Amino acid sequence: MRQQTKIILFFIVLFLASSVYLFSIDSRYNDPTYNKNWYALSFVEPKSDSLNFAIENFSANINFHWELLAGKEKVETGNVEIQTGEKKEISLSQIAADQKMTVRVSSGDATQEIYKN
Amino acid sequence: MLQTIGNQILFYLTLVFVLFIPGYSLLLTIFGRSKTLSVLEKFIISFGLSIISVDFIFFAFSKADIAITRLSSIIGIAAFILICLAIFKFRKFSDSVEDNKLFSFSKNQFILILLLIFLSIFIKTAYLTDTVFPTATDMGHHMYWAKWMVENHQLPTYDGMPDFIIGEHIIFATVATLSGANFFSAFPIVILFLVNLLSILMVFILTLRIFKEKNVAILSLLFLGVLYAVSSPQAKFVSGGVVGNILGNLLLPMSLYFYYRAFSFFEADEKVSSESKTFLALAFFSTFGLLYTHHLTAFIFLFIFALIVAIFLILNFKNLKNIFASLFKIVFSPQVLATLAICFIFFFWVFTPNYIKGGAVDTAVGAPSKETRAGLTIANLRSSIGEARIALGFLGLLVLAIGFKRKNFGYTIIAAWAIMIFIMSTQPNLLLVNLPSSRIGNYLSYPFAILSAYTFYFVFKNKTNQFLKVSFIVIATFVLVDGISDSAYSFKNKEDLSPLAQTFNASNYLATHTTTDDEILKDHNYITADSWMKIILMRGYKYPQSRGYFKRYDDQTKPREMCTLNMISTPDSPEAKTCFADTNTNFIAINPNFDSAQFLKLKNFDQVYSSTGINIYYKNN
Repeated sequence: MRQQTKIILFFIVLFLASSVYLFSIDSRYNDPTYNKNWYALSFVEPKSDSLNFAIENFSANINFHWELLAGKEKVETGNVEIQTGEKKEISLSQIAADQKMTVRVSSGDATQEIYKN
Repeated sequence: MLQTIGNQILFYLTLVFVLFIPGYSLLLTIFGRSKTLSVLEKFIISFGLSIISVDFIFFAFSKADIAITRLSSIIGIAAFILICLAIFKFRKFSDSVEDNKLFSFSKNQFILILLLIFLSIFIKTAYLTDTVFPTATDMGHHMYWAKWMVENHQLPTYDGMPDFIIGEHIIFATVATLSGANFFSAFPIVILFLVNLLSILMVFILTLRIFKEKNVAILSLLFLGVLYAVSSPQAKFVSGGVVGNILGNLLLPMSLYFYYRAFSFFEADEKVSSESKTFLALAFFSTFGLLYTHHLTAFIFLFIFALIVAIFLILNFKNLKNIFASLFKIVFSPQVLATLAICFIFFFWVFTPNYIKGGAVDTAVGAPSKETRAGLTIANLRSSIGEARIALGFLGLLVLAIGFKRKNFGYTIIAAWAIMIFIMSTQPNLLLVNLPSSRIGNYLSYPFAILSAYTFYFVFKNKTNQFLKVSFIVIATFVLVDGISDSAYSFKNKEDLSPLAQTFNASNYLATHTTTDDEILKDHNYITADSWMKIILMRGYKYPQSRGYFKRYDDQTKPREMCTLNMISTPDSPEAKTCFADTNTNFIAINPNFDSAQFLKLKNFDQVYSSTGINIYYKNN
């Protein structure tokens, strides 16, 4: 085989190996095994008065405790188990209140809040 | 697993189909199986020519109102390949007398080439391991347009913005269309990585042709591929998605290569051959490809070209009559005129780059309007292209000048390439260049790598005195340490990827819970990979609105709107309230560690999404 062909083949093989490796790691940011430290809390219907909310778990901790507060008063609480990489919606009864409604979720040391005024 | 393997195979087949075969077919049509180009040259050049050919195919599609789909793309590219192969089959080619000893390497040289290629790929891959994720702002902007092309089946008009050039996006869009590759995967970076590696090999063959000395070419691989392998404009530009520069750094040396091959007959006092004409046609084709790919590189190329012409004509002013007679024969040849005609028809009638229409040329020419455009100092250049490389580069210019032969067109190219970029980046006012000097300075690493290689070769080639050799061994050690340590410093610590995942999660929330009637504002300062939000939303290049870097709002030379700043920084201010009313902004995404306090106290904002890195607020009235 000619030298130049060998150089080309060598280049191709190395580039292939390198790029296959880069492809193999490119989605790590979506892999819960690499990002075991966060979860997202959100209202299912952000524009309405509904207080239904969702928790999407990207942490190793699967136990979540939630509280619904009207102003500063706790009106409803609950616990929920969500596996890593999963999302769960929690439905709440409609509460007619003229005050700030807050959903507070804690898991391990992390606490997140969302609210509607 | 099988699907992943299948996707990978499809991706690589697409790369070959889009980025190699069209160019290789074109070379077959032009040169047949002649030895005018070595196997290695054909391999490297095929990629550059493919990029340009595929661009032209899609320009024709655009003019003919043909939707760019998977089927039409395959048909278009396949038709181009088949036409090339048909011409190759039926055309008669003259036998080449080219001697390819230039590409025969000794065993040691061969091993060294392989080693340098290995090191170049290895160092860059190691850097990309931690930077392959879709975070870079520039990459986000470019991939938006590539995805737009995939979704809308036509070439983008860029909403009239002159800063984007079609050639930057066609290859990504085509590869994604044909292979189904996800824009959030490594595929854009893999393509840029390939182009970057090819640009290094392109310099290798250009150096080999010009200096006709294998050791200089091999040393250029060391100085460009291995040393400073990470710093700009190498792997950092790959991961940063600086698409235009990466493509430009392949097409610019390729254009210079063709111009050199076209006019190399001056060096040997030979007559104009048909190959010179063919190479000039390819040079013009490449130049137009550059004009369609990156305006900054094309702008720089035109200045370099002007200096090449000026230096060569001044040095050979006694021979101007013969030079112009030869030029006349070459330029007024069928192949050159036909190529020029096709390129001009495409440029002015089929598809005109938007920066021509958008007045970008006017803004690039004139007195420097900002401090960042007033020129780099030598200290800036040192950090930009490496201390050792700049020292050796200047020495190389001196060595080149000492050994300069006025008819040596190759030396003229290298000298003009280095000198012009040096002047443009350090003294832009002399040439009325009004562009960011650091961006121009990045281009200096290519000619300076060649000059550094030549300096080394010059010192060690003969029985130079021992003192000089020892001095250079010391310098060589310094160069290696400087070049390698530059790469080592650039390696990032293992990055926490959760902010990136949170940005994409929040973006998906916005995509599913808002409509085009909603106006979203996000922050660019503290949200990771925020420019990629628009690729998830796909509601326009300027959607969502963005609070830019704070310093931009204070830029006296370019006054800009203040709403994006006020609506996040002081949402309760009278100015912000007016902005909310004017823009109908009702969703705001910010990093809670920096910007949540001002929203917490406001009753007209609901916090509807929360994670450690992103909060989303909804304006409820």
